[in-house]
Amino acid sequence: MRLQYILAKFIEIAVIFFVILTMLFFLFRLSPGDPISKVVDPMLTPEDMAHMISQMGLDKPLWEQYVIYLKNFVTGNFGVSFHYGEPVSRIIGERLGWTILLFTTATFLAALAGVWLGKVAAWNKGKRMDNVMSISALVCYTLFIPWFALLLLWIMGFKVGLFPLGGVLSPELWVGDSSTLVKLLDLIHHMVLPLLTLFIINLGSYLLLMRSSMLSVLKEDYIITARAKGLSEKVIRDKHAAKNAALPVITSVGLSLAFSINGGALTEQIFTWPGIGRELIFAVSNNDYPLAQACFLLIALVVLVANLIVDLLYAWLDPRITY
Amino acid sequence: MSLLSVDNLSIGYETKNGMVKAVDGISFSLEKGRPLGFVGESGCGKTTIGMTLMGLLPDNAKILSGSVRFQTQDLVRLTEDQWRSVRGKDIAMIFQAAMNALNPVYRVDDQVREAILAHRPDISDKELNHRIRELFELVEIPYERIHDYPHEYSGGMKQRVIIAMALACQPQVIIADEPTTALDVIVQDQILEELRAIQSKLNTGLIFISHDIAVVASICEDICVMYGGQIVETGTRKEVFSSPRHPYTKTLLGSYLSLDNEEHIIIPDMRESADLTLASGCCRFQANCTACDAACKSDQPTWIDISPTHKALCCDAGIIRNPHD
Repeated sequence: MRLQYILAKFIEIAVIFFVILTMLFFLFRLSPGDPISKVVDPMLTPEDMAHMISQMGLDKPLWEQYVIYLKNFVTGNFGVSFHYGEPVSRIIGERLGWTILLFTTATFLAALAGVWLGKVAAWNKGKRMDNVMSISALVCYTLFIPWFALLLLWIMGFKVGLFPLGGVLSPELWVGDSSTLVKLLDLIHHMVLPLLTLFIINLGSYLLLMRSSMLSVLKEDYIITARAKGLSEKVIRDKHAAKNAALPVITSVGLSLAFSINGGALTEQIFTWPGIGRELIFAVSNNDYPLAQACFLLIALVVLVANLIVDLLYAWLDPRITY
Repeated sequence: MSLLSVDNLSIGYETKNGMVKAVDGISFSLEKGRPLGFVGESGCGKTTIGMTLMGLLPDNAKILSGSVRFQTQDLVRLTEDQWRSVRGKDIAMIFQAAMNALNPVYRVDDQVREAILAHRPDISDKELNHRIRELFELVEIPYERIHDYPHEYSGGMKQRVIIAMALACQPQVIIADEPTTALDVIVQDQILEELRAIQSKLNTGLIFISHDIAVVASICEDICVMYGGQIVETGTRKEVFSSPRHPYTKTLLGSYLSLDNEEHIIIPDMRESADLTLASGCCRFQANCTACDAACKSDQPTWIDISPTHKALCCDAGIIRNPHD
């Protein structure tokens, strides 16, 4: 893989990102709702209101606002959240870690399990095990996330009471001087239900994808070649078929990570997981423009970077692809 | 004693329309150092024979009768585990490289190495590397290219690797199934030359399967002409090519384009494929045969000897015995 390619890819990402940046700017100016009414007390006099508007730069011509917007972006100034009154970058920074923790864990666990189960299902095609696995995977795949998440929460959290109803930490454990292990266990305890929701929903699609990919690889001529060498069935399945079959799953993992922030908003909302997705819902419904804008930019960035990673990973795993 | 002898072998494929007999009661034997060629059109059962000898028939195939003697064992009765120790070690197959016969994600030398390790797991690294070098030298691939991936090779080079892979464990029988079909004529010629040289050097048994009579003629000593799952004529290369007796062999040779017989070329007027659902033992060529008469429909064809090595399967001995028909 050439450095040149990575460099070109970075430039490409920068250009696309700039276009998204510009589109976002205009979209926010076109959207209904009035930012002033959110931050400005209706009791204020018209003069004070005009003063605040000019302070926010909203009385300037559009192009000038755009230049300021770009300048602020480059210097890392995303403004102050209307609701929290804190710098947006700080809020995002706090939330991002939680989102990454939940979604990467769920996606990787689901991908590993899906690849393994899909491989086994394809290998036993048409047998009982395959039928049970394929149908279950189809059910997982078509589950309606909010319904399933609420059901889990209601049964496991409320009825059985095995898991907390939401959040990431128990305050009493974190204020006191508990050991790191206790804190970690508390975190895992909170993570189980949202993780399970995302795991089950992702698992179905990875399993089905791996199964169909594996089935088509098993028809390839090099599988017959491998048999003709006298290799054992296990070597043929794991070494010759599974590696080739897993390639499309990697694309899928990359894409689902890319869409985890917005796609996972519902899960985060239901389990009150303090991540970016939940913050986005909050920002949009409360007309918190600076916060919403930053969330959108972040989503765009994550999609672009995830695509880059998939490209690079592919080149590493498949020798036929060179850049 | 023959290296490999097949006796009255019949193989059927289970299909939605019932059992289709792809190979119908064929017998032949392979001698060491005398390459045996199978020639015939697509669907005549040549590849099914090759796959049977490797124990690689698809799941819907069934060996209906017959035996395949190799050394002291009957290959037809082997279990899957027993087959695994025969495949690649005693009997190896050269596949067509144009198909994806090499795994795209592994280096070529590793794929050949694997073929050796499958049967000699305790071989020392030094010996293994020596053997790899020897094999690649044999098929004339430069040593510095052996760590490449298959997609970095040309068609001819891939075919050489596949040959090296088949030779890896010094098998006694090599089955080459259309090994040169997808290559251009120049490369085809080189590969055939190489196969010939390797065969005479290692003195192994070689079964060569092709639809191309010129290719078969250039490499094989003995020829079996197949039609509709039956061997219809067999003899030495000279006998079959210079004095064909079976009507199908004549058609096959007559349709072959060469500079000499430009004016006499016959475009055969034939159905696309033989009727494999016909009862076993009857003449499969009757629908396309110019000499077919009422007797052909009711009688069973028999082997008619022309010489000790040359014979043909027909209902009408007169046609077979008269070479100038």
